[in-house]
Amino acid sequence: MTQGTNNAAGENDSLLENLRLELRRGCLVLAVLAELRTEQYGYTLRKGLADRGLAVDEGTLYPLLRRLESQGLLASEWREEEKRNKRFYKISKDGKLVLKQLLAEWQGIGKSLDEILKESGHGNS
Amino acid sequence: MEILDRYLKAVKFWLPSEQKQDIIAELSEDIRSQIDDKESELGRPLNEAEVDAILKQGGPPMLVAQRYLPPRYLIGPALFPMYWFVLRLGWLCIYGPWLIIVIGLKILASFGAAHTGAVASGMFEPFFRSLFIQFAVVTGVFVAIERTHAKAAWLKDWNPRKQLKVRDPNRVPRSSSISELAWYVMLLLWWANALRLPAISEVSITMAPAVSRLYWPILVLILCQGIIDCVNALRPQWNPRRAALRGIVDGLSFLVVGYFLLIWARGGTLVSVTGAKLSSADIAAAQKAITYGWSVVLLIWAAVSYAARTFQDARRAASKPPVHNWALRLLVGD
Repeated sequence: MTQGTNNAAGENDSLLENLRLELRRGCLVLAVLAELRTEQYGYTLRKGLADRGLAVDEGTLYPLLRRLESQGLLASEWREEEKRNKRFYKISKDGKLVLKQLLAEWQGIGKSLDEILKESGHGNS
Repeated sequence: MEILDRYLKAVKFWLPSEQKQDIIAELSEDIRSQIDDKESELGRPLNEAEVDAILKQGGPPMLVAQRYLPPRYLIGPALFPMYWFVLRLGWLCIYGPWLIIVIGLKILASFGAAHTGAVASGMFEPFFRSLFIQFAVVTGVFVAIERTHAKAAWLKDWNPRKQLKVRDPNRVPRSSSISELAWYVMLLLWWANALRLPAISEVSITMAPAVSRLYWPILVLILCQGIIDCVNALRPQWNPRRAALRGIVDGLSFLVVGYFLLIWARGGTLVSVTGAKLSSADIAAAQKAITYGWSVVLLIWAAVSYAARTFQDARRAASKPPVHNWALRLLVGD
């Protein structure tokens, strides 16, 4: 393989990674709100998301949790568990309403995308 | 764990003071949980390299802290294109021509005109000072607009009918043809000696022999430029034949201007000054000063402009679109 082909493959990987992150970023709010229907602290939430195939680093998750809390979609409290202070998050009443609306939007997008992919011959066969 | 404390301290440094404790407590808990999990998995305490790997995965402290902060910028994405446009406009309208003159002087110096080299060196320092001031002032104004949110009004009152018209690259703006025609009429009158500058008593300024021997060719070139401008004003659409004709006239004009610059570069003069009460030193100084003024203010600019016009004319003559470039459009003037 030539140097030029290697560079092109590298650029393609980097482009794909950026697009993948962009795509996942949009879904992350939905996943976090849905997961926090059950109270959890940050680390278990992160593990739970990773176990379901949505790995997210702490530098992305914690700022997002803070933003959602400042927007009134989450509520949090510090509590001691296993001799360590942990911050527990749970979806708020407003958060539940937003989650419901976002889920409807998500399903709509999924349906539209299925249609588009089917028409262009890229659907699952 | 010293390394973890050092890492958290470094993150803390970049965080806003009111959130420092809260964020660090949560981040610390997350990292400690990761370490605990890994230790349970391996059944032993982690070594330094393994702890380092966990911290490295989190990212550099400044980057980690930055993710907790709201987006911060001096000039936001809404204003940035306009800011960049204003900066470039300044560079193209002022600093581009300035730089061309400085480079032109340096080139002439390499042909043996040492005096032009000294002039060019003297122009460098004010050039960079002025460039820096322009950058600082424009940036300052745009930062102020960003801070006061003055942009909000024009973004809200945006009107799709007020957008710039699509420019036809083969159309000659009438304003450009008429202003150029006015310039060539003035030049013609001056060249034909019909437009006289206020006379200085007992001093006569005439063209130097090296210049006056080109009287007729220059007269014809000026007439040709004027006629092309008249035609352009009446039929403002380029066609290959007209473009080829102007290309020839522009190319010849470039050669004439280049010849004048060469006279100056070789220490010659473009004018002859005579006066009964003037000493030969005064006459030499006056001739040198006028030649220098013409060369620096007019001729270097004219040479670059004619060269650029010839290039664009040649493309039009070959039925190719002219190069769409701000600097070239500024030099060509159409």
